[in-house]
Amino acid sequence: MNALLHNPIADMYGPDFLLFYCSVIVITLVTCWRLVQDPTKNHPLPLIPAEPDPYQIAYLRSQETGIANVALFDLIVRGYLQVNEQSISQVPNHPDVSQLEPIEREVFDKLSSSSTAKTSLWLATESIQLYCNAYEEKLQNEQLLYASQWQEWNIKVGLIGAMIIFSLGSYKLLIALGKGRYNVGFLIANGVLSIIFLLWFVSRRSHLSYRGKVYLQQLQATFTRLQHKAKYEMPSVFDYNLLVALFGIEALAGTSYDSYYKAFFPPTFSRTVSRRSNSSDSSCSSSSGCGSSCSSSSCSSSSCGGGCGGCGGS
Amino acid sequence: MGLTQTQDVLAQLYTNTEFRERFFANPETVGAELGLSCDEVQKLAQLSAQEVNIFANSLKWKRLGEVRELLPRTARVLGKNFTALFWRYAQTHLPKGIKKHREDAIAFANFITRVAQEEDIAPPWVGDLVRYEKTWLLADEPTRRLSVCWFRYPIGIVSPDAMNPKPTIAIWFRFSEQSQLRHIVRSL
Amino acid sequence: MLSHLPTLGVGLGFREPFISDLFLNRQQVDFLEIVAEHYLDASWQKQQELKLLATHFPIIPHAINLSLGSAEGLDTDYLRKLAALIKQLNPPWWSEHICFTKAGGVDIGHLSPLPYTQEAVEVLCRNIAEVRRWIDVPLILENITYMVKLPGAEMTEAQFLGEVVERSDCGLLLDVTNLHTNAVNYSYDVHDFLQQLPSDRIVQLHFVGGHWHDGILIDSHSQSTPVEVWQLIEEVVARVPVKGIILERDENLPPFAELTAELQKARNIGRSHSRWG
Repeated sequence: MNALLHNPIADMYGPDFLLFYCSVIVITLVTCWRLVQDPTKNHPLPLIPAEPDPYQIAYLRSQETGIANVALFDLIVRGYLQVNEQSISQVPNHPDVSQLEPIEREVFDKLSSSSTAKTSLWLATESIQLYCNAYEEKLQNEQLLYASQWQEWNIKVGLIGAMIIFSLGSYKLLIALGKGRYNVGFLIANGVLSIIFLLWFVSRRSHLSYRGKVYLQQLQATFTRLQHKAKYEMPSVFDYNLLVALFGIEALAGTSYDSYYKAFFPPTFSRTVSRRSNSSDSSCSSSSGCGSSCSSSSCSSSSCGGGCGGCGGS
Repeated sequence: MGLTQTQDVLAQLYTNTEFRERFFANPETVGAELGLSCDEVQKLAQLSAQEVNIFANSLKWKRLGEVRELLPRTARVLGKNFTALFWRYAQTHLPKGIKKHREDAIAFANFITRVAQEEDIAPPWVGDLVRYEKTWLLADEPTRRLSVCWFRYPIGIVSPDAMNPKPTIAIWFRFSEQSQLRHIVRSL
Repeated sequence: MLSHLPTLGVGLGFREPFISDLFLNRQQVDFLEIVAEHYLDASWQKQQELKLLATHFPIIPHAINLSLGSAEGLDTDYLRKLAALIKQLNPPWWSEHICFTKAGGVDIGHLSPLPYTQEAVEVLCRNIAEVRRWIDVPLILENITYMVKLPGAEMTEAQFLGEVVERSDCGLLLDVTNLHTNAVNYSYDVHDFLQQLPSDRIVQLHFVGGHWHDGILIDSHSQSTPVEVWQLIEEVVARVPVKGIILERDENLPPFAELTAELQKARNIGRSHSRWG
């Protein structure tokens, strides 16, 4: 009993103990941070598939909603569904439904009556839940999703860390109160705030592992040109599906399917912050190789008919 | 004449219009200025002036094409004047280095800004536009974290048809060397 | 040494605008050629792009501004950066041009021809020896097009190219489009030219189409490959165990299917002569 009441920690002067307590908190937080690091951090990425599956990629990006988005849009591109201002409905003379994949058939059947874009998406998401398991499993096997056992481990680590902080803090608090010392505000604040922070830190989670996040970024960087293709060229149905899977419905703004985009994002919405990728903006990319000095756009943009050397300053 | 000196002369012939004109007008005089012997001058004088001119022009067109890609909006707005201004600028500046086209575009943008003020080039907001595009190039440098620029016109916000004077600020920033460049532009 | 180089097959000069289509049609492209300069002093995003490409394709770095023909010597800073890039990629070979691009503090901005003289051969060999102190990956050298014919030639162009690759112990990157372009513009016979080249030095080919302007054929890398160039490819591939062939389309990029159609044609030529599968 005497050891509990008189020991270096119990007898430590208040400010000295606060310093000691803060050090323990920092060490505990850092240790917990190291222990909850994503185990996939240094794993090499999977290769970009030779035949990417838009549904799998859509699940990677936004789970069931992503798959529903792709299926819904696929049906519109192939003429099974149509967009009328804000609503989506089946096309009266739609093609033969036997050509549809099971997941598309589910979505098509679910939208037997006209509904708003958001409701259609909700219904589509409901209808494809069962199909998502297969995609989830594939992505889990590749460690692209954040596994539930990692989350359980994180919570354990967090609870142990919180226990350490709580135990030390409450022990000293009891000792202080027992000695008639009531200036314990900092002690309580440090303890409470650090525990709240720690529990928040260990319980936040993305559905993607670190590997999954970086892989998704790599996919988006690889296929970013699809956005340009959708606006200025003639993408295939597959190109469109992959575009929506990787970048969402927002990628359809300004394309032939702008009406579908507007059904979800009516014109009052505007973006004020723009991001720019180094490689996609024409302002900073150069495609020159080692061909003739006329190999750059100087020839195609010349006002005197496409030649080089024959006109312009001497 | 050694190959070193030959190449020095060739490099000047290909890139320096004034030198090229002087040389082909009077090879002996220019050759003497360079300390070349008569044989050496005779050899160089065998160069086809037409071929050299075609090559020299093609080099300038190549530079122009690269710069046009890096300052596309300015090129569109200035039209033929962009080319004319470039020919003037190209006489005075030759870019070098791994990122020479970028360096060329930035130097040309500075040239346009200066000339636009001095010579009152239309439209009146072209100076702002070229500064805006130039700053994109500068901000794109991965080590650059923050760039801020003031404009008299709402560049980057409104289309060329609606360009009326309105103080505008543009900010480019990135959180780290690895993160994407972000951009905000606001009129006050 | 060159016969031991691996056969890479049929490839494409990488251009960023078609990166998405490239990955969607990966099986039709055996390897990529990158312009080395695009990845020197590169941004983090460009470095990631290179890592992505290198993970999925064999890469051949193609340098354009080392200026191997400069009598004043090489830019050591540029060479150092190029060496680091090549070390990172560890390719089976890399390529540059038989030309000069810099002299007297001036960067000409394009590949410029050398006089066909012994002195020029010596300069090239000396510079290549310097390069070998930094880079031990096999080097192949490309023939260029030219708009200026330099006086004082001591040999023909073909003899000059042969002399350079033999003396410097390099391979030859035979750009058949450049060969065709020069032959048209300067009226010489391509078959005679090919006969004079040391065919055992030919490692890789380049091909693409150009366009006409004011009676001159321009090597603009902007059009589909013309029939004359296909004939040259057929002739060379029949005689020489070429290790790889690259379509070098830079400008006026068509739908990707057109590029892969040309690659398939090149593949068929190679297959018919048992060069690659």
